[in-house]
Amino acid sequence: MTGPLRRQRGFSLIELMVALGISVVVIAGSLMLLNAQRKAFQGGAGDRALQEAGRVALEELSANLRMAGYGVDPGMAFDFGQARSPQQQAPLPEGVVGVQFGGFECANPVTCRDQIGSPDEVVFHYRDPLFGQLLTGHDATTLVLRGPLNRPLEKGQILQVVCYSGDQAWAYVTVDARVEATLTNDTRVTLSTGLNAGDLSPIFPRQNALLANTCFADVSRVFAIDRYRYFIQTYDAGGNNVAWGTAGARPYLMLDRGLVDAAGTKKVSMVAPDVEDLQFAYVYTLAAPGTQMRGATVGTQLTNAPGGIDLAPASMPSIPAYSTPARDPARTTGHPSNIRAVRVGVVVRQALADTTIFEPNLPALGNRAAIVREANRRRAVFETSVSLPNLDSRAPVFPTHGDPALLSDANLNFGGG
Amino acid sequence: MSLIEVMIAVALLIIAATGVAKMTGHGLKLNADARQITRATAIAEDLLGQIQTWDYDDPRLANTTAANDANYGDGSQSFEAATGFTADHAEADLVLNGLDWNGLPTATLVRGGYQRFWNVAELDDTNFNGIADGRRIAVIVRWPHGTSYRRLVLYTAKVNPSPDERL
Repeated sequence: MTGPLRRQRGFSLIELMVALGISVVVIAGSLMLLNAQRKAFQGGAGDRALQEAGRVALEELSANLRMAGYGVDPGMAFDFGQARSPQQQAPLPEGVVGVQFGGFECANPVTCRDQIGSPDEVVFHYRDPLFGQLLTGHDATTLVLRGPLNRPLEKGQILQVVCYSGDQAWAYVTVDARVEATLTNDTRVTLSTGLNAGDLSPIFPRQNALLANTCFADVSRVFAIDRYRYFIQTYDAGGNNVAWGTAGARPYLMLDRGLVDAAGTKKVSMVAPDVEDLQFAYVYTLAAPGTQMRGATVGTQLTNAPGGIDLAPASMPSIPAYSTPARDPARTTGHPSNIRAVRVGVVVRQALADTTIFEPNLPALGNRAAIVREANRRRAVFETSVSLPNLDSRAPVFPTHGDPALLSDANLNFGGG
Repeated sequence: MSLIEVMIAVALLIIAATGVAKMTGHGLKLNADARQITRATAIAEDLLGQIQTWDYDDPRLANTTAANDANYGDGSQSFEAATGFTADHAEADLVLNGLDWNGLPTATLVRGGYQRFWNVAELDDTNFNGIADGRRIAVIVRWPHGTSYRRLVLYTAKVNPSPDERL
């Protein structure tokens, strides 16, 4: 005898199949959502990194460009290649001839800085507002600075030596060996007498001979002139420097201060990653209408000529100095000392390729036309103008100095102008 | 577990997933906003950099609307509305009287719908001779945001070079 049949507990096949079907749909949806989230997160992170790199690049360039020409003769603010020095127009000490200025990392004046199919570069100088030491002794190859020295001096550092008596002359020299910051009273600085790294032609501005002026035996002070060379350098995955535009390699905005270490290796630093292009155009506000902007016409490379960057204008004096009147014809030429603003542009791209983005072109910028480059990269153009107030200054470059009886305190008194 | 329970669980999952998806969308939108603000800042700085190279008596720095001098930096946010704001100068004035414009070309602003304006105010007259000691300038850049605009304002000033007005 058997008991009553009990209903079987569990799921029917239909129930199982429905549940399985729903589960598959839910899991597939979840995976798709997860994948979309991952891609969105990556895209967002890449976008933020791109913006950050663009901001860093533009802020660094703007902040330093704005200072160009501070504490140096306007003719020495920009280095577009070796050219006559502003000092060549003034009477020079006997035996000093052919003073030249510039030419850092530049074989062909002007065209070494401006390109129409690849990134531009720029080289400019300004005085470090926080450095000023009394000169207590010197000869043709050595300076003795009154301490303490508040920053080390690297090999390649440009120094400006200014005397406050007699001719009130100034000379530029270059440090030949690193000098450490020190609290001691007097520091000896060895000066370079040959070519420095990066110089294809005489050093900046090779005026050691000007130190022969007897005025430097009296009250004189020494200032640091910092050099800024911004350019694009591309590295492959192995850290090797490769040609610009090499697929798979990463471009960086670089800064070269013209300094070398004890082993003779150039010291360059990375400013911002993924900066694919760098373009400059120059504004001459006193030039004739229609000719004020130089370097912004697509396909036209800047040259060493009156309509471009003119390193040897025909007018006399051809290179305006601080004392040149505001509306003097010498200020209407294409000489770099007449530049009043620089238009800066960078193209930044996402670090990682994203197959959902199809953007094959490096967009046109400055005087460079659009170029086909790696696709699948989001790119952004950041562009702005930087005015150059120091090049418009009517004040002399001599910093003020205090009472000679209080020379040790005068170290703090170098506000410029 | 009944089918009802499974369906409730699925519904909850969908609601949560929708929330996460919206959050991501919002994050992307904020990224786009940040990009627009970065670009607008560069555009405003460009105009500011160019204005700094202009002479004090450049016609582009004329105080054409003295009525907005007290609000030259758009404290009332009137530039966020499509209409109803007053600006001393706008895009067309960049080449006023045939002067050269050396900043970002107008064409580069089209993508993104950016518009630039600048207001000039002459508020300071310390020697009370009726001539301003200088000009305060506010550069306003705006861009579309939904049905209205967003805007940012950067400031600069120019000192009157006349010896009578120097402080």
